[in-house]
Amino acid sequence: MRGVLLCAVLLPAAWAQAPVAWTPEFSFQFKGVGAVIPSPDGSRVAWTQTESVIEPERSETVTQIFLASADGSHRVQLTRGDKSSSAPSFSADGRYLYFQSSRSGKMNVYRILIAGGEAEMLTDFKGNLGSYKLSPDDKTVAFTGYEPPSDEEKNKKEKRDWRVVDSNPANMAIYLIPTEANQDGKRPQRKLSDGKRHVEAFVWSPDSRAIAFVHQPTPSADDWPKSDLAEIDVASGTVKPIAATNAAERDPVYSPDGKYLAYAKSSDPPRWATDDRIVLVTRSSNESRTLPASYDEQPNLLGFTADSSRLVFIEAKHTRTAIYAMPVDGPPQTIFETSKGVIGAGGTHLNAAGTYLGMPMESTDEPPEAYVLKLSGGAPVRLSRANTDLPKLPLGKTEPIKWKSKDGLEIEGLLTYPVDYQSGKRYPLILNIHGGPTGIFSETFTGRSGLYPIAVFAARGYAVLRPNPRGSGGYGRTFRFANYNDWGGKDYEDNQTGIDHLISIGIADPDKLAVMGWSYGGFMTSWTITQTHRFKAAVIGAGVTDLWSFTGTADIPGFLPDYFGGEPWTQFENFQKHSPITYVKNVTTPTLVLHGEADVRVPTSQGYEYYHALKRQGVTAKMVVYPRQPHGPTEPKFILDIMQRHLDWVDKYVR
Amino acid sequence: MFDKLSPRNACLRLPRRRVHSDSCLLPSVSSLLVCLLPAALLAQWTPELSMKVKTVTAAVPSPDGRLAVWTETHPVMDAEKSESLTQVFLAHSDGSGRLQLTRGEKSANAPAFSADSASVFFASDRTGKRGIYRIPVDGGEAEQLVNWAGTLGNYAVSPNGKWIAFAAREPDTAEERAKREKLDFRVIDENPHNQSLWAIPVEPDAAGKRPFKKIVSGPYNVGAFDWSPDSRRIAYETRPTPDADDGRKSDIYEVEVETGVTRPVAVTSASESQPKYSPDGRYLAFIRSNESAKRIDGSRIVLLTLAGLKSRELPASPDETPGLSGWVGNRILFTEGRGTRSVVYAMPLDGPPAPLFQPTRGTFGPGLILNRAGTHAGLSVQAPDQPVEAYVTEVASMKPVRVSAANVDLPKQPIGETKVIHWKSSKDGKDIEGLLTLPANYQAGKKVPLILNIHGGPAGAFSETFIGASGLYPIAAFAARGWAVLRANPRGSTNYGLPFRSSNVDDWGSGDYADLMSGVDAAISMGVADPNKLAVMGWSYGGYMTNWVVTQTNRFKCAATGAGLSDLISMWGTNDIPTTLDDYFEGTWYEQPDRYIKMSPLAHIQNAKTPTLILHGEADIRVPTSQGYEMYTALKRLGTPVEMVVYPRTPHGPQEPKFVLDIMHRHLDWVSKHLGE
Repeated sequence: MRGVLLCAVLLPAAWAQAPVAWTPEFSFQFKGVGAVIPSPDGSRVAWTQTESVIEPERSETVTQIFLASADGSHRVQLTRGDKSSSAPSFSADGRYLYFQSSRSGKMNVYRILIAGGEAEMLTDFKGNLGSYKLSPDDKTVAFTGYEPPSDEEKNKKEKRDWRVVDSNPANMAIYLIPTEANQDGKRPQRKLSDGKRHVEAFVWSPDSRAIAFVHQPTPSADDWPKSDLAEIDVASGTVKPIAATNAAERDPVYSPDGKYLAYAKSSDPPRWATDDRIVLVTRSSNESRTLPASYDEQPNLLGFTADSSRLVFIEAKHTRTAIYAMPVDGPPQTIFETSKGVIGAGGTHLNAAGTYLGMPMESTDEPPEAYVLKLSGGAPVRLSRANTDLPKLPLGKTEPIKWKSKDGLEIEGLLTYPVDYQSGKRYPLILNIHGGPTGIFSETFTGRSGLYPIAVFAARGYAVLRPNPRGSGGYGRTFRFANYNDWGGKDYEDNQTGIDHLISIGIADPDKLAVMGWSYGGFMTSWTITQTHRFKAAVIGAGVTDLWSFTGTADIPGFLPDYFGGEPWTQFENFQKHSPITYVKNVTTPTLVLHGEADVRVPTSQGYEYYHALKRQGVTAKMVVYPRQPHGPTEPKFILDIMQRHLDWVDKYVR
Repeated sequence: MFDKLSPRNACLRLPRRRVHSDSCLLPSVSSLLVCLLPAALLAQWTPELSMKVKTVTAAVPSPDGRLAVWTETHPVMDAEKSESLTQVFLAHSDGSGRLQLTRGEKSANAPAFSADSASVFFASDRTGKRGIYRIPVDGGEAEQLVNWAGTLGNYAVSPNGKWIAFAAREPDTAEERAKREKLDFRVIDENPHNQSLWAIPVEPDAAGKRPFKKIVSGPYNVGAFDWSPDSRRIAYETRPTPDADDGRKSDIYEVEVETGVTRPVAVTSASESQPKYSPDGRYLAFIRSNESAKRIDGSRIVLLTLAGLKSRELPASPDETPGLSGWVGNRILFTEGRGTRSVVYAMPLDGPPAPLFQPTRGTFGPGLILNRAGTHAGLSVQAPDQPVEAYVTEVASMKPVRVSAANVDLPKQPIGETKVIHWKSSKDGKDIEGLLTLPANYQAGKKVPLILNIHGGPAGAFSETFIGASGLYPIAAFAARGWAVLRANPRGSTNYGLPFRSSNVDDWGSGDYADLMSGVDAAISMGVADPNKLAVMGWSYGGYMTNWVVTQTNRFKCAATGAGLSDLISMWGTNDIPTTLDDYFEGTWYEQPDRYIKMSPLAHIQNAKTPTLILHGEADIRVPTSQGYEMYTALKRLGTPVEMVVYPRTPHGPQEPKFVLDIMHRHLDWVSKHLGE
C-alpha cells in the first residue's frame, strides 16, 4: 500500500511540485482500462491497462495485461515490455492466459502460465494477424490473418508500387494452430477459410467443432451493410450459411448447451444510423426467430447465461449504460444498470461459463477501473488500482441536464460546472458536440486525456455543455433517426436551445460562448458558425464541411446517400443545402481547424476546403495538420497539443 | 514554351514563368542492353524504345563563343532504381570535340561557363546534398566549390568570374528535431521555406576557405536573379513565400553586393519577373504582368532605366507571353510560342518586336540561351519525326549547328507522319488548329481508330515536338499500332494571342469542348478517323476536359483521365493555385457558385457511360488526388466501368521512369482493350 506521503517522497523530479489544478499533462497520468475477462470458474479476472508514453522520441500508448483474484486480491502485472500485449483470454482449465502482442515485430498469439514463467509465442504468422480465439476444448487457437501477395515487398523496393484502387483487397481469412506443439516443437498452421470474402469476427461453437463467422466482401468500412453469417466445420472446412440476406448480420454467440446461436441483425436495407434486432437460431432445426427490440436497438451481444436460457447484452441508455438479459422467449430485462457513470461496452466480457461479467467502469468524477460482477447477484467488485493513487484534484461537477428544443422535443446533455462554481454568477460556456452523428456523450471521466480537456476547462472557469441532440444514440431508434435528411436543421436547434436554456437559468454568459467538435461534431461546428455569430471562437476537428466532395473521397461513400435519400447526383440540391461550405460566406467567428493527415474517414481535404475559404475572406483562421494521424489521433504528444490548442484558442477569443 | 506534353507545364501553372529546361526531367535512353539488339527486332515504336530517347537541354554558349555545354537525361530503371540521370556535355560550337564532362550515378545539371570560358560550373547532389562544382574544359575532374548543408536552388557566376551567387535555404534543424520527437504537426501557411540570396568567392581565401556571405534575407523568397555587368549589383525576384500561388506577387529588388544595401526596383501590384541587365548596365529588362497580375492576361517586356528608376513598357509581343533570353547590343531577344512552333524575336528599344529566327521545321524550346556578350545563342531543336538535340549559333547569322549527338543512334523506326490541320469550331466558327499524327505507313483513304489527346493548362499548347519521346502519351507507339492521334489547340490555348487564350474565361466545357469535337469531326470527314473507334485522353486540364467529355457524349469508346479536375468547388479549396481559378471564373467559388458547379464534370456525372481509366499521383498538390477519387467513386457507384491507378510519391507530373513507362502501357492497353484493336 502506498500512502500519499510516500508518493510525495518518491515522486520523480517532474512531480516535485504536485499540480493543484487540472492540466492537460496531468490528464495523461491516467490509464485506460480495456478488456476485462473473468476466468471460466470466476475465481480470477484479467484486464488490460493502457498508458501514454511521452518520452523524447516516443509518442505512443502501451497496453499491458493484469490479473487478480475475483475479490481484488493478489493483483499482478502479467505482461511487460515496450510493446503492447492485449486481448487476454483464459484457457478452459484456467491454467493459461492467452493474449496477442507485437513484441516480436509482428502481431502474434502468446500464452503465459498463470502459475509463473514468461510467455511463449504460439503463432509465427508472416502476414498481418487480426484477432484470435481459443477453442473451448483448449486444443486450438483460431485467428484471422491476411498474407500480402509475395511480390508486394519486392514491388515496393523496386519502385513498381503503383496501386490499382479496390483491387486485391486485404481480406482476412481464418487460420488454425494447435495449442500444443508437435514432436518437432512446431505448431503447424492451417488456413481454414478461403479469403475470398473478408472475415470480420468469429466465435467457436461450444463443442469446438465449428466456427461461426461474420464476413463481408472486403475489409472496406463501406461494406458492413453486406455482412453475412456463416458457420465453418473445422474438420472438413465446409461452409454453411447461417444468414445471408440483404440485412447486415453480426455478433454471433452460441449458447453453452449448443442449442442456440444468436446474432444481431440490421433492418433490410441496412441503415447507417443502425437499428438492430437480436435473432435467435435453433441450430437443430435452423429455425430463426427475431426477438423483441431492445430499448436503443443497438445491442452488443455478450453471451448466454450458464443455463442457456437467457442472452446477455449491453447497450447505452441515455448518458449511462445498462446490461440486459433476454430470455429466449423475450422481452429483455435489465440485470444491471449504473446509477452514475458508464460501463465500457467494448471492454465488457461475459466469461465462457456465462456466470461472471467483467466490466471497465468510470463516472464523471471517477477514473476507469476494472470490475467484476457475478450474474446471480451482488455488486460489482473493483479489481484494478490503475488510477486510485493519483492525486484527487478539484473537478467541476458534471450532471445530466434536460431542456426542450424549438419543436418541443426533450433533449438531454451533460453540463460540467466550473470548479468553485458560484450559483448566480455567469460563466463562459463551451458547447462541445459529439461525432457520429449517432455518437453519445455519456458519463465518462472528465479528467481523461482526450481531444477535449473538460476537467481543464472547468478548472479554468469555463462551463461545458455536451448535448445529445436528435440523431444521437442511447435514446431509442426514433430519436436516432430524427436527423435523417436534416443535418444542421433540428439537431442544430437542439444544441442552440441548450445554450439558450443555460443562459436563461443564469449559468452561461451569452457573450462568452465557444463551440467545438470532432468528425460529425466538426460538421456541426462548421455548420453552426455559418448560422449564427453568437460564438466568439470555434474549433473544427476533422469536420465534414462539403457533403458532395466528402462522399467522393471518404472510405464510406454509402453513408451520406443513406442519410440524404440518394447519391449526390440525384440529391444534388439536398447535398448542397446541408453542406456548411455552401454558407461559408456568413462566417465571422475566429476558427481553428484541426485535422489528421492520414484521415481516410473524413479526408483532410474537408478541412482545407473550409480553411481556405475562411482565410481568403479575411476571417481569423488557422489550420493545423497532424502527420500520420487517422480520423482519431493516437499519438499522445499530438493529443496533448490538440488539448492545448483548444484551451488556447478559447482563452484568446472568449475571455 | 509548352513544347512538351509534360503536365508540369500544364494546368493552372503560371504561364509566364519560363520553365528551366533542366526541370523537365523527361527520361531518355535506358540500358545498353537494348542498344545492342539488332534494329530489325525493334520493328516499331514502343514505350520501351521511347524511354531510350534522351532529353537534351538548350546549349549554353561560352562567353567567347567557341564552346558550348548542355545536358542529356536518360532514365535509370535497373533493380531498385527508378530515376532520371542527367549529365553535362561539352563540345566546340561547330559540334566537334564532343565529350561527356560529368559522370557518376548522381545527376549534374545547370551548367554555366566561367567568365574566361576555361571552366564549367554545374550543380550536383553527388554527395547526397546539392552543391556547386567547377570542372576545367580541357581536362581534369570536378572540384566542389559550394558545400551547402541546406537546400540549394539556382545559381549564377558573376561576370568578372569572382563570385557565385545562389538562392538557398539553411538547414532546418528545428524541423528535423520535431520530426524525430514526433512533434511535427504543421501549422498551415506558417513557416514558409523561403530562400535567401547567398554568395561565395570562386577562389578560396588564404586559409583555403570559401566563406559564405548572406547577401539578402527577409520575410520573402528569392527567385531568379541576374548579375549586373560590373558584378557589383544583383537584381532579384522576391515573392512572399515559395508557394506557387504567390507567383503573382513577384517583385524585383536590387542589392549592392558589397554593402548589402537593397532598393525596390519594380514593386507594384503587377507581377514582375525575369530581370536582365543590359550589357552597359544602364537598363534592366524584365517581364511584367498586367496590374491585377491575373494569370489569364497578357504580359509585357518592361525597360527600366536604373538611374531614376523610370520604366517604359515595350510594345506587345504577338502572344503576349514573352520569355526573356537577354540582350544583344541594344536589342532585347525573347522567345514565344506561335501556333505549334516557337519563334525568337528581337525587340529594339524603340520599336516593335520582329521575328528573328524560327527553325525550318519543328520547334525549339523552352528558351534561347545567350552568352553575356550576346554573340552566340544556344537552343534545343526537335521536330515530330526528329528527336531533340542541342544547337549553337552566332546571333549575327542565326544558322544553328548541332552540337549534341544524344539521339542520333536511335533505331530509325517508321514513324507516323504528323501534320498541322485546321478546322472551324461548331460553336462559333472560330479557327482551330491541331496536330494530326497518322499511323506509321498510313494508306490514304483508310479509316483508322483516332485518339483525341487534350493538353493541359488550359493555357498550354501542343507543338511540333518529337512524337517518339517518352512521356505520358506514347504518340509514336499509338501510330505504330495503326491509330491516328489528334492533338488539338482549342480556345484557351496559348500561342494564338491573348483574345484566343482568354476566350475560355467563364466558359470551361462549352467553346473549348466544341472546338475539340469539331476537330474529331474534321478528322472523320477527312476520311481518316473511324467514328466508331474513338478514344479520348488528357492530363491535368486535359484530364478535366476528358472528364467533361464523358459527361457530354458517348461517342468515345473509352477515356483515360490523368490528374484531372472533377469538382471545381473542392478543387478551389484544396489545390495550390486557387487564384488561377478565380481568374478563369471571375471570382472564388463562393462568389460564383453556379458557375463552378455548372462547369464541374461531377455535376453531370450521371450521364457518364464511357469506360474510364483514372490515373493520379498520390503527392499531387496541383490537382489533388481527391479530384480523381471523386470521379472514381461516382463512376463506380453509377456502375460505369472504371479503373483507378494511384502512383505513390508522384506529384502533378509523374517523374519516376518505371511509373512513366507503366502509364504509357496503360494508355495503350486501355485503348487496345476497348477499341478491340
